[in-house]
Amino acid sequence: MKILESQSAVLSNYEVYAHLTAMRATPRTAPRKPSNVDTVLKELTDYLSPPPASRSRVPRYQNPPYGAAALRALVAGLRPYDLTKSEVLMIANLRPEGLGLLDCVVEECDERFTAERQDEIVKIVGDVLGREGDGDGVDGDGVDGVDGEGGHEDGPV
Amino acid sequence: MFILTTLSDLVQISPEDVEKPSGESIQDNINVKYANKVIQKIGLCICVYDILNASDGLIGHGTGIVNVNVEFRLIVFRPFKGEILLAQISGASEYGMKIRLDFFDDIFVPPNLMFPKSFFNVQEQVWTWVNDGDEYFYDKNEWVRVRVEDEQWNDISPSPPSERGSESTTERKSPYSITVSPLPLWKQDVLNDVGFDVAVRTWAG
Repeated sequence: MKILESQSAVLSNYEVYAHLTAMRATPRTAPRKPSNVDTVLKELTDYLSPPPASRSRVPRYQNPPYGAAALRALVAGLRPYDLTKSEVLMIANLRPEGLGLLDCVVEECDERFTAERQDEIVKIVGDVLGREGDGDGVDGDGVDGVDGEGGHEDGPV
Repeated sequence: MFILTTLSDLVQISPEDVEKPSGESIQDNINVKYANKVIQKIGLCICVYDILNASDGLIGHGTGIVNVNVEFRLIVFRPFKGEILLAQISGASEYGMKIRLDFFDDIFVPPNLMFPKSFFNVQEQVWTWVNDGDEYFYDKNEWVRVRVEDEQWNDISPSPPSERGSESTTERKSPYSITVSPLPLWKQDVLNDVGFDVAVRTWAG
């Protein structure tokens, strides 16, 4: 074993979840032999699944069922605020809904942003990733968008 | 929480796997070797993300094993310092609090990182935080948000018997453990009107 690059990229929770789901959906020629990969995949899927599928009782506001389109929209929406990469990553993973969590996620939040700017960030996160307790509209759109793209790609090939 | 790490390794495909498509058997072999294992200073390996490059397969004399040099990327669990995680309390003692994720158990909060005016409640066996005269309990199985403070690596590769002392049988250290500190939000965010037993929300699709 040789390590070529210890950190080639950073993945958000959603991207990992999407990869695991895609891996399960790929047809195989022969069934996989049981191994330690099954353990970790099962436990990780439990942790990352949106609530109805999750068996680990992760609080409901975690793991919203948004799609890759929503993630791109989030990054674009937060660009004017000059957040660092790790801050955007944590926002995507944790979906802060109040100023309390935002303050923990963003370093020196009060000095860098005025109260209105902080409210704007929380609003963008809510608009793009959906809020706890609000309708299915926003969440559904994100998921549909991805499904649609997938369909188009399959067609011509 | 997750990163991609690029590795190269020699993959040996045994004859009974030759009928599988080579991509599939390479991936299976790597997963068997790395999944759910810790590489020192890298993190906990989850599974293959993609295969970048593979050499031609070479068959050695006598065994029929196909040897392939593969470059691939792994998904690795390695939260960075300062990252905030959502995790579950799995136990408490006077030496601190144990916290776990579904797939990773070795997360600790030492007593010195708990909030000021916290103490270990011996009767209830939970850590308790006193704020404005109210007591808040860090109950077992509660979900908390924690911030990563430090990480510890223990190389537990086996040592030759000559170097092993008599004490080697006592404790097993975990190869990778994380020290975290609690965030002051767990109570409001986790418990307020986000009851676990409320009917789960449904969404389109």
